[in-house]
Amino acid sequence: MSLATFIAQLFAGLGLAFVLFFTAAGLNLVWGVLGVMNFAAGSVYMLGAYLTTSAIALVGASALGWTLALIAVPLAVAALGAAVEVALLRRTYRAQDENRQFMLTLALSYLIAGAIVLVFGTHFRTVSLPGALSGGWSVLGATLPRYTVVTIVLGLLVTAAIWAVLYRTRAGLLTRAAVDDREMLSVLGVDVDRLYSGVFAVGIGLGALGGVLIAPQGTVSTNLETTALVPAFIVVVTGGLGNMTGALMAALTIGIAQSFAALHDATLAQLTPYAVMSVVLLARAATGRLGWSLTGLRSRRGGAARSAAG
Amino acid sequence: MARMGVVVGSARTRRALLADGGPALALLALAALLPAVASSEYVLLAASMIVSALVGVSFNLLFGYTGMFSFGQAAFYGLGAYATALSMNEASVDFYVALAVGVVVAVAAGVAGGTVLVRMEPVAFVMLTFALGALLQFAAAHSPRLTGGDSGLIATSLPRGLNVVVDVNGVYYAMLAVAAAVLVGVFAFVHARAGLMLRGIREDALRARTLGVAVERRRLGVFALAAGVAAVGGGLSVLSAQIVYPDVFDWKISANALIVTLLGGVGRFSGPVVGAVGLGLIDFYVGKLSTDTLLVEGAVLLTVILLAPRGVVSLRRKQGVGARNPQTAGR
Repeated sequence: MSLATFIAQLFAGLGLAFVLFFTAAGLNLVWGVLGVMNFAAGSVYMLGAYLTTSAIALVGASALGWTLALIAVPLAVAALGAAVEVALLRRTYRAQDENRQFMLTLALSYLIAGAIVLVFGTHFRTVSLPGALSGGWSVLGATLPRYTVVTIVLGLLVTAAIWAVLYRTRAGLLTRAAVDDREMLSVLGVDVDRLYSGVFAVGIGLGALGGVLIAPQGTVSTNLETTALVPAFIVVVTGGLGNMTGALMAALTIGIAQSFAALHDATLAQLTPYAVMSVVLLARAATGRLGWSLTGLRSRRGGAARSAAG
Repeated sequence: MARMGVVVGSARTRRALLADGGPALALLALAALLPAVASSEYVLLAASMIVSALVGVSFNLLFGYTGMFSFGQAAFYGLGAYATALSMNEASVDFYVALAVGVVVAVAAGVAGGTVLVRMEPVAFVMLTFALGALLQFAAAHSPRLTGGDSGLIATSLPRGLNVVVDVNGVYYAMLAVAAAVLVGVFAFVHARAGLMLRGIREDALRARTLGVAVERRRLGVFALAAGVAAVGGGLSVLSAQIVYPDVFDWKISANALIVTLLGGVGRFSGPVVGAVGLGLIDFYVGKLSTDTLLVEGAVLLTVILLAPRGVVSLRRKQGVGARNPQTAGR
């Protein structure tokens, strides 16, 4: 493999990894903090992609139009997420019925997918990139698509922002505290309900951001739901539920491995996420932790579950 | 054999048994009369309900009775469908033999997968059962030589009596008879000692373990049984569809099982059967107006979850002592 090919594939893999990470991070954040397995993550991603096609049709495929879409679409979807949290999800925390929450998000995924079919129809859509973002830069003989570079830079920025917010701000401190002891936090006078709404909105917004970024890279169709959901689940499972660092590592490994596998065979590339997951899970089982690594956000609940099974 | 016998004590228990199995029995009786009064369009609708009811019953065995939230019943449904169609095409065996092969394959896969899965904690169990379906869907789509890939696997050697194009009612009655036999078997199982033990595990796994129930082995057993029931649904779908696509592994099949169970009543024997008929009717009539059935299904699901959570929780509350969330208790 020449150096040029290597660089090109590495970049393509990184681009893939960050789109994966956005959806997985949204899923992980909501699960880690709220304890809700958000099955609607795939349809939220799809919604992000569809809204992008509308936004670009509205404001034009200029650099300015794209910047606007990139900001407005995730915000709009996040606002929707906050509304859903307040109206529906909030009722379910007290009962601590994880199954009911899961079913609720399943219902949401049906509703979002149904609404998309109703509004946009079943025909696929495409959206074009502005001139400034199409084409590529030449580095050491390899052509790096500008859009991929932008995706990677954005990915790094958002990842840094997630960490900065979680570990360097008061909101992040409270979020982590809510994971440990929600009741104590509310006794101390913190509005936990508002905090949860915020976290859910951010998680949903991250998923939508993934959808915005994927929109110009192919066709926007109703297949997006499943094509986003399955890899995102795989990334989350591979990285360890609720574990953000794990999810980032898993997304990078899967994205890059998939990109290099694609050099040989398209089928091999599609099989890569499953292969990586199997290897990681088996390794985890072999090192004696057949259960689930729940380091990171959701340590307490994981500990309780494991001791009860003991 | 007394251990395996249905627990029938007082008149009260008999009434409870009737209440639990009655609706399903009534629907089976109606189903048997249907071809006499309805056109083949409705017979085919009823055939699809039979399939969806079986997958629902399979899901209910795990979630309703044992508290294991499987989101991968499509995996076993699909294995049943492919194994049945392949046995008929490649080994040109009789349909019922092929169906038995499908069940054996699914049960074997259930035992193999279940050995690892039943030890997982709830959320991991949901995700990994989901991943199992996704993995098989991928495998089926990418093994064109075995499965025909995305173009599907056509069941070529169906006898005239089981060819839906030639004899809709023949196919329908064959499906109904097999499904009825499975339902009777499952009914006996859930009301036998073994079924009661599953409910004990659901309510409090730790207590069940302390009382000497081999929790993991029981969970594995019911996982394999549910795999077999789902596989019967998949095998029967070969008769009405005559073609098997990789979509048989799609998570929408698993979601459908969840919805029909929720609609009819979780942990009640007749629940998924009633739910399958209800959802089938809703889909049928909405489908006549628009192709967008997702929106309506989502709305129905949401309404049931919000307004009739009793379908989900009342059962546990009613049974009172030691009622807990099955997903957090003793995992």
